Amino acid sequence: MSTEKSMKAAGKRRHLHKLLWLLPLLLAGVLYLNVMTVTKFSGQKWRLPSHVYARPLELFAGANITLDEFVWELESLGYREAREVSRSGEFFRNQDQLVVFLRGFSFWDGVELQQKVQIDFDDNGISGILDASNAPVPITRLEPLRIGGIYPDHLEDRHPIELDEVPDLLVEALLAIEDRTFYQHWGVSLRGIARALKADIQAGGLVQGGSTITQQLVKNFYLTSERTLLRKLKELAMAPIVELHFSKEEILETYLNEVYFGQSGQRSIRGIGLASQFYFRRPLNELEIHQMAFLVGTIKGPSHYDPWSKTEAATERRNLVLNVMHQQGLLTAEELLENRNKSLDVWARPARTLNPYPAYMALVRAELDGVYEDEDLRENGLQIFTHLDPQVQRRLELVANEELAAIESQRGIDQGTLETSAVVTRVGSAEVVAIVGGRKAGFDGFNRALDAKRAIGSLIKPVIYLHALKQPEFSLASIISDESFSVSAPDETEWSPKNYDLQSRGDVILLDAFVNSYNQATARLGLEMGVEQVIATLESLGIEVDWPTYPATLLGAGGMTALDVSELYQVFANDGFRASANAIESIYSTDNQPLLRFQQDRKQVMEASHAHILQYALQMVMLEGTGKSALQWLEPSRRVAGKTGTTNDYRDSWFAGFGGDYLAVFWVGRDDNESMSLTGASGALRLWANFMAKVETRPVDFVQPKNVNYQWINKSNGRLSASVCDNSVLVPFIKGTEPNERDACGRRIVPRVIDWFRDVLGGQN
Amino acid sequence: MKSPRRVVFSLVAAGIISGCASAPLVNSDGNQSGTIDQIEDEATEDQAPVATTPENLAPEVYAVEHLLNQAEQAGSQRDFDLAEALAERALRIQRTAARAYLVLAQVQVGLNNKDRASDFAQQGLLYTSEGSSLELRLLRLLKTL
Repeated sequence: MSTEKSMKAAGKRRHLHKLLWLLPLLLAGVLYLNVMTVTKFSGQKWRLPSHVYARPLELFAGANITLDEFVWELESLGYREAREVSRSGEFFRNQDQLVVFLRGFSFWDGVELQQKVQIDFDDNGISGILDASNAPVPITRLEPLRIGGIYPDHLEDRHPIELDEVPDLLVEALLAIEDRTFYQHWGVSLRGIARALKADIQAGGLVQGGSTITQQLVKNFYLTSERTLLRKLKELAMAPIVELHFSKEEILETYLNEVYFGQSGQRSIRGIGLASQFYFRRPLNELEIHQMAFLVGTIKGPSHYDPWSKTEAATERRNLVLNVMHQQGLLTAEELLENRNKSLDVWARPARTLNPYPAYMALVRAELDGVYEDEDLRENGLQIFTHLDPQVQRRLELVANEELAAIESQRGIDQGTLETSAVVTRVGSAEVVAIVGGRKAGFDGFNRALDAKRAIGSLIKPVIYLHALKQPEFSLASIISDESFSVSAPDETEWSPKNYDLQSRGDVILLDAFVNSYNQATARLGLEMGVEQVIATLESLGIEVDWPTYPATLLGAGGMTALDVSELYQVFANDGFRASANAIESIYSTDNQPLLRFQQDRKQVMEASHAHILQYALQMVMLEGTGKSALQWLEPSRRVAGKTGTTNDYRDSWFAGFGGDYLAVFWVGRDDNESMSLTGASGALRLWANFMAKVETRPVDFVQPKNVNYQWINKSNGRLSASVCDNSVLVPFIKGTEPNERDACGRRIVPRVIDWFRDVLGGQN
Repeated sequence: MKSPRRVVFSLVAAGIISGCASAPLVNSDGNQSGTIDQIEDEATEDQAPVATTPENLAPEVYAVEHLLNQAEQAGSQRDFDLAEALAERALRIQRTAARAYLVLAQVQVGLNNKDRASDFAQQGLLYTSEGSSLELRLLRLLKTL
């Protein structure tokens, strides 16, 4: 017996030894879990994508926006129409008046208040803004629209919120559905497990989870969703650790930011902040009861309760949540009934693409290159505010698509063979407000606007004339021969430029040659100046090119992207001052701290007098020259300036032009560089004019520098003339460069008119 | 009200201008408003380029002035970043707001960027009337660079 006892005792000791050996291992395991839990929870919890925003819409008396456009903007931001405007995010439309409760937003230059305003409209746009006390509001802004993001590899998207941003009722509904004893347990609820076990046994399978919110958080945040015993054991061990180290509020806040709410294409919708925007386009504080119930109900199975494809299941689930809220005393019977009867009220299904404006996003990425590391952009939750104007962008996309199809149809071109690119910038600041990189604007493919360098044809001509104007012996009234000629190119071939209509016009003034885009006269002028000098002038405007100094370069054989052309023409539009084309306005951290602002820059690269003279010539192109067909679409009162560009064998059709607000550059061509029988006027100009007719409302700011004079000139000989004389045209001159000689008509008329004025004004001079 | 003599002048000028010639019309910023009126009237008919008057009282001027008042205040408190952001906002509304260029030039002076200050001031000068206080302030600033 004693031997037996001693053997048993020895066996127990061995077990005890084994257990003693296991104890440190267990302790080490728990310590490991403890460190892992605390480290991840305390540090940066998520890899947050950067979010990219459009420009904020400025609201002020005189703003050129129609009431319909404004309502479109409001609806894009999730504002909803309401009879009584009492909460932020609501508006009421009454004929030419709109009452809107602005949400407010924190901008770089100050906070825009959350306030109710009345906005009046007339034919010209906003005619006045009043606040709630009927005091005029000089200027205010809408919050900017989110237009895309730069995502981590796992493509999880979230908009982190703090717990106090979440409505109490939503939190209470969540706890009522997911974890009623949340504030009582230590991470694991034995009662919850027992209840779930009973339900599972009764149903003969897994129908109810007994996991607390803490366990769910541990599973989602630290572990995987695989159903193994080891994973479950880890979850049970880690939940109390989380509870030990962190408050209930911290746990709840992290859960609300972590929880999965569905999928938008490849993008995973995480956290209640983003879910509220994704499903309802509203911030959390604007959610209605039925919407809160929907969000709480969706957590159980976002794909199963997809409101767009499984409306019935989603409605049933929402109503179940509403019932529970009522049972828990969170809703009255009336509130329950009222909310059960509501539709799901979700927004139209958001686009499944990660970025609806891929061409614009490419420019944003290019500007960020070298400023931030890729990892920072993908994981640090930057907020990037851009100049994209969604109103202008959608019109640009529409024109690019519809007009190309119309051109193909009318000119017998195979459907779908033409491509396009376009860049729209704000005149002066060169801020890029819209881009299309191809006719399918939403398609994230080859971005022609930024990456396709195509021969620019006659778009180069203003540079040649600029170079001539810089020489004291030249003015727009100077005579140049438009006769045909040949010249030996460096590769020993003969180069013989031809006019578009194959006609020669003898001697013409420079203004005529420019306005009608005569190749022979312009090439002769350029050769007289020197190809190298013309390229040097182009580079002095801030445009870098690596073009050969061949004569053909003078007629635009060199290539540029639409963005490059935009920068070139900005100098003409902006009175000789260069501003770099830019997409980004400012960058904020994820917790709304300003990080970086991209200031406007200006550099004078051309005399204002030269810019004025070129602006004049570019306006004449639209009135009398190769751009005049734009008047089919544009009101004559919308004074615009621009230039056509066509390349050899009609491979490229360009137009670059501007009004008072926008400068737009369009290219039309084929990706295989084949001929398409379109000139600048019959292709790109048509798109440009259609587009400008939709967005441009102000005439060119045409300001005359103090050293510029105007004189009437006889177009056939370049001599001073008079307005009543045949063939005369008003021409701007830098003072002192006017012609000395007067033509016969001018000699007859001018003295008589001067005498007549003296009589009329008598004694005043 | 125009005086009878001015009206006659306008009619005569319009008659001359609307002759058989191409009639692109321009005027310089800061000219007397009567002259600009007569030319703008005629220009519409002839679809010719017309000089604009940046300082005329378009409704947006109220917003621009409001922003520039704030910008100047920020500048005087050496909050250059804010002053710059506000002046840029003003320029988005009115590209030819000379006062905005003055603010931007002053900001660059404050930041000791003389070249940039000069560029902004030079552009602002384009949009001022001859002899105006803005012109004088911009010229004075340029002299200090």
